[in-house]
Amino acid sequence: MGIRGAGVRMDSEVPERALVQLKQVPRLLNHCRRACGTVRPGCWSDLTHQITNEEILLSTSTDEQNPDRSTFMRGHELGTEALPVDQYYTDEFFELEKDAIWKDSWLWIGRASDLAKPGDFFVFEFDMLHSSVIIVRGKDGKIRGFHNSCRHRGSPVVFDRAGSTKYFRCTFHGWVYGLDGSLVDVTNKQEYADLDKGCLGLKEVAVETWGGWIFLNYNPTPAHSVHEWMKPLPSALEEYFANENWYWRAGYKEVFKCNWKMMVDTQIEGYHVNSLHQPTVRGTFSPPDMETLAFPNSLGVPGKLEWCMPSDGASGITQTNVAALAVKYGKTNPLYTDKNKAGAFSAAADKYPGALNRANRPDWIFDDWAIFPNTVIFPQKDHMWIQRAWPISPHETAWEWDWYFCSEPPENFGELFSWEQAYTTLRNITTEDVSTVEGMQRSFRSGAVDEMILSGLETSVRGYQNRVLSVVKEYEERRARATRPTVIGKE
Amino acid sequence: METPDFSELDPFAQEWGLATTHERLVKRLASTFDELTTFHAAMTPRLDEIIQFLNQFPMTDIPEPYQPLAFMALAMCEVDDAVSKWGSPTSPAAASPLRFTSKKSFYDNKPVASGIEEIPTVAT
Repeated sequence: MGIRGAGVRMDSEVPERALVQLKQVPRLLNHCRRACGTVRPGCWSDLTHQITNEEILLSTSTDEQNPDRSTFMRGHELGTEALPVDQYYTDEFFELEKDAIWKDSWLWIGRASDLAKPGDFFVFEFDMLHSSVIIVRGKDGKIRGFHNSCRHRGSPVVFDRAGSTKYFRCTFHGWVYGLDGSLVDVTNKQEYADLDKGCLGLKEVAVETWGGWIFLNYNPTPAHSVHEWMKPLPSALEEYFANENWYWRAGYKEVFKCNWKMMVDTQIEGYHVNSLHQPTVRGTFSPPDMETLAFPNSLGVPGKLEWCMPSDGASGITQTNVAALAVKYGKTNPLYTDKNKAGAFSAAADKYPGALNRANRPDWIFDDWAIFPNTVIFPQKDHMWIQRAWPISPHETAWEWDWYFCSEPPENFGELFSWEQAYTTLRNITTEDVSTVEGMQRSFRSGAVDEMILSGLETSVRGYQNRVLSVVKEYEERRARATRPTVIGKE
Repeated sequence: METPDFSELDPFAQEWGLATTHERLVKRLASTFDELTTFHAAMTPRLDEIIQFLNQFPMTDIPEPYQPLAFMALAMCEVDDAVSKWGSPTSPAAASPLRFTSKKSFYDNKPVASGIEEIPTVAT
């Protein structure tokens, strides 16, 4: 199949191409005229950060605001053309994604501190790939992943979803494996004609950690480490995650009748906020003021949104008496980074300058990073939301939302009240977020809509979709090269 | 600390002194807008005082007689958007919150076809 739009990804040819794009966008030209008085190649001024065209497009060096970054883009620099929608509903694309994306990406699956001591394990199951993987901490302290499949005849060696053990014993015929996956005992070994235990350990799955989070990759020999994958996330953010005692507080899950990528798209742009969320948080955010970025050179971080209050101060969400009391009694009210209380909030995050709020804006509320392929994280002061979308079929997705904290749990009722107010409001906002996706899926699938038109405020969505399309396209090209028949005698 | 007189709120205790977020959500969805505003109006002038009063107890040891009061205060979080913003028991543009199933941990990711469970948020 042809994948329209897959050529959008830019790397070495970025500058020229971006200038062409620049010329195509009158709004941005006007922006330059206002800021610089003229428009010329290489001239690109931004009212907020004064980042020059050269810095945006060419820099691979570090800077203070974004020490680990690869080149980032915003506005229409990544192109203005409409994107295809085939990738949301065709069986063919869904099948390609399995190999191109799901079996060759780092997947965010857990927290290393949940496996505190040797023998602690949990089981990660991914039904679409018919996969069950044991994640276990070994006697040497290392966290490893193993297919939950006995090498004898494939029976699971663990049925519990989590626990602590000294070994894994298959209940079927009693084969025993060590925490390092090695086969240590075979029942009635003398009955086998030729059995080499040394070659029959549990099959390993690549597992690495970043910031204390556990990632799995179904590619047995991943081309990139998870640290390479996570660039340009700031190293300070990694330290913030790694050094603080993050613990899970709440979460919910639901199956939606839409493609998995739609659950990511919805969460990484703010253009919708004053329309879709008009009933609940109108006026709290200011989409035109919020930085919307794409990282076309990143392996695992295709886009980012930086949520900010309107420059004239937040209204809307903090207006009610209940919300005001939540702010008054909460140590960290997750929805509000009250300018007047900012100093009183959260010592932990402040230990990691550069982890959050890249531009150090006083009106910043939280960051919003797309982590390829299926995760969105919202790191904030002393807490974070994590959203993950797991495909079931092209038209069905299991979606999860989880809430982690690194500050102390509520010590009094007022703090609990503050969390409850945040939880219920966030849930209400999220029910608005997800109200659109099933209708969008119908629109794409029926053919009523055959392209997506994206604004500059949806650059992160464009960056994410470009990554999806280019990864699948590259996979198709690799596969075509690998299967190309050799013409004997041609040379 | 002297116990303030919250007796005017007693009539709401049975209906709104619900122990879990999910129960309070179900109650909100099952209520008329008038019922929500009546509860909200009765609680609003006392809410700050209730929080201050309950703050004297350790989080895990709120005395049983005051637990309904604590749950009613938390119920204000549930009804506030409806009364203060939506003018209706539900948001005019939202999927049903009953579709969300509470997770028990980060690893509790199996899709659930039906049934909703919830962990109590107070005095557990």
